[in-house]
Amino acid sequence: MDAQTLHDKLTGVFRAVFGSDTLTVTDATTAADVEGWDSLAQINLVVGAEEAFAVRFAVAEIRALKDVGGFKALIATKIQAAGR
Amino acid sequence: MTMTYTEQAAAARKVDALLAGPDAGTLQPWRLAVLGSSTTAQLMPLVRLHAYRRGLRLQTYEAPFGLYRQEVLDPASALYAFKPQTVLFFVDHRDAGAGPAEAEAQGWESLWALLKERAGCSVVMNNFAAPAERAWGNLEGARAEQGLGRLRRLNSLLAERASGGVLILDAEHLSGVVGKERWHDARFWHHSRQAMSFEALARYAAEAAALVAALAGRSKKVLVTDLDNTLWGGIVGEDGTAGLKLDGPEGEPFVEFQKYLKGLKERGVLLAVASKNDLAAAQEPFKSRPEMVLKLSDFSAFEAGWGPKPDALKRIAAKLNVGVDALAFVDDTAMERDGMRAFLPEVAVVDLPEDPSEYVRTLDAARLFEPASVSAEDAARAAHFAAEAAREAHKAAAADLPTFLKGLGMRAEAGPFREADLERVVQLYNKTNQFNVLTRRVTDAQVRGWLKDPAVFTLQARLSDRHGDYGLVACLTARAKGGDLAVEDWLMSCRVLGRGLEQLCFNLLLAEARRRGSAALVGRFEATPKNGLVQDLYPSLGFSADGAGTWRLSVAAAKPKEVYIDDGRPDPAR
Repeated sequence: MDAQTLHDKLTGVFRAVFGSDTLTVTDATTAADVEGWDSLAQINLVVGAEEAFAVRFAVAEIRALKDVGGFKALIATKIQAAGR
Repeated sequence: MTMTYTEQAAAARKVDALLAGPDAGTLQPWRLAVLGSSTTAQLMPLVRLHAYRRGLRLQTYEAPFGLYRQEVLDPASALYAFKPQTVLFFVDHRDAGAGPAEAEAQGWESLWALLKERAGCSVVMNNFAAPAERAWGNLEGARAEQGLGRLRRLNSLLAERASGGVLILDAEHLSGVVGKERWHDARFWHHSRQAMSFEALARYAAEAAALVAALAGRSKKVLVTDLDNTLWGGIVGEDGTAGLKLDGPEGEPFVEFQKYLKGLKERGVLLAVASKNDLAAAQEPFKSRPEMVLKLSDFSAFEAGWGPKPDALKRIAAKLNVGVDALAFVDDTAMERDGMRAFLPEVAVVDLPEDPSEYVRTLDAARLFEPASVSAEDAARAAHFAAEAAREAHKAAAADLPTFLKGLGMRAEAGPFREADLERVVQLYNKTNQFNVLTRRVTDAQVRGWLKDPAVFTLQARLSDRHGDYGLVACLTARAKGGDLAVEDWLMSCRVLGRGLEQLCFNLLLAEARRRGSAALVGRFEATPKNGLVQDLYPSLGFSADGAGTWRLSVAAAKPKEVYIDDGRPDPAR
C-alpha cells in the first residue's frame, strides 16, 4: 500500500470517528490538535484502523501512539510484515 | 450488510443528532438504564442506534461503571431518580463470582427483585460468555463447582429464574455465533476495561435493542412471505406445480426455510402470503406437493393477485387486526422489497440473499420476532386464526348478528386479576394497540401494586367458543375516586373483537359500581395513531361527554347490556 493510499484511508478513519467529513490530519497532528480526541476516541481510532487495515495492535503500541505520523508508520510496518 | 463497529458508531452519532431534533417526536420513547461492570460509553450509542431502527427513541442513563450493586441497593441513587422503564445489566464472566452457582444465581435474582420493586421496571441481563481458553482442557466442563462447569450451571439457573419482566440476553450463545476467540479481546480489557471486542460489542448492542424493543411491545407479530423463489424454487406460473424445486441441492434450502417459518408459527408468530400469482395457481403446490412443510392452514391470511404488494400487506394487517408496523416482509425480489420500503416504511423488510441456503440465517439474524415472555397463549394464538376463517364463513351464513353470536356458544370466565394471570396481563398491556383506551404500558411490579390497593378494581376475562379457547383476552382496571368509579385501562385482544366481550366487561364494571355504591362511572380516552377503534367506546355504552376525552355515566341511570356470552352468572339484561 503506497503512502498516499494509507494516509487517505487513515483520514477516513479519523473522519468516521470524529463525525466530520472535512477533517484533515498531517503527520504532526496529535491529540491536542483535534477536538474530542480523548482516551475514548483513541480506542475508537485504534479499532477503526484495525478494521480498515486488517491489522492488530498490541497494548504497548496503543499506549505509545503520540501522533498521526507514528500511527501511519506502525500501520505500514504491520502491513509489510503481513506481506501485503 | 454487516457494518463494522466504526461504521455503526458513525451511524449512531447521526441518530443521536436526529433524536435530539424535532422529528424524533413520532418515535416511541423509552427510558433505559445500563448498569455496567465495564466501560459502557461505546455501548450505549450503538444500543440507541439499533433501538431507533426498531422505532424507539431511547433515553439512556449510564451508571458509573463497576458500581451497579451500589446503584441498585441505594434507594437514593441516580438510577432510581432516572425512573428507568428497563434496566440492562452489562456484565461479563469476571462478575460471575466463585461460590456455589445456586448462591450466585440467588444474588442476581435478589438484585432483579429489588429493581422491580423499587423502580417498577423490567430487567435485561446478559448471561456469562465463557472464555475461549480452558486450563483443564476438555475436562473444564466437568468441573461442577468451578470453571466452565459452574459457569454453564449458573447460566442455566439464571435462565430458569428469569420471569415476570426479567429477560436474559444469551451472551453465551451470541459469543458462540461470533466465535469466542473474536468475542473476547483481552487487550482492550487491560487497556481500558472493555468487556469484549468491538465486533462483539456491536452484536451485543443489536441484541440488547431487540430485547428492549420486545419489552416495549415492538416485536413483529406477522411474517408475510412471497412464494416464487422464496418458499419454493421456481415460478409456479411458468414451471407449473410439478416443476417446482423442493428437493435436491436446489430445492432443500426452500424446505429448510419452510421449517423455520413453521417453527415461528408454532411459537405464535402469524404467517401470511403476499404473492403475484392467480390464487388457484398459488395454492396448488400447498395441496399437491408432499414436500411442502407449510400447509394452507398454517397461514392466517393469503393474498394472491396482480396488484401492488403494499396494498396486499395493508389488507393482511386489516384482516388480522394488527397495525402495519406489526408486519415483517420477506421476498427474493429486490424490486418488491424496495417498493415495500417506499410505500410502507413501517413494515420490516428482510433482504434475502441470492443463495436460498442463507435464507434461514438471514431472517433469524434480523431478530424481528423476539418474544418478551413465553406464555401458553402465544403458542395457541396462531391456531385461533385458522379457526377464524371457519368463523368468517359462519358469520356470512348467519342471518343477523345476535343469531351469529348465539351460534358461537361463547363462554367467559371473568374476575379480578390473580397471581397466575400476571404474566399474561402484563403481556397484553404491553402489546395491545387497537382496543386500548389509554395505551398505558405497565410492569409486573405495577400490576402487583394494584392487587394490594383496595381502591383499585381489576377485571380480566377469558373467552372460549366452539372454535377454540382464546385464553385471557381482556383487562379493565378502575379506581374509586371521590364517590365515583373511574375506569383507567380498558384493553382487549384484537382476536375477540365484535363478540360483545366489551359489553360483558361493562356489565361487570357496573355491578362493581353498584356494589361499592359509586355515584357514577367515569371513563377516559387518549387517542393514539392506532386506537381509533375505541374512540367511541364510552358513548356507545351510554356515557356522556364530560370535558375533553372524559366520559361520565350515572350508575343509577345505567342499564346492563345484552350479551351472548355465558359467564356463569345470570344475564343482567334479562
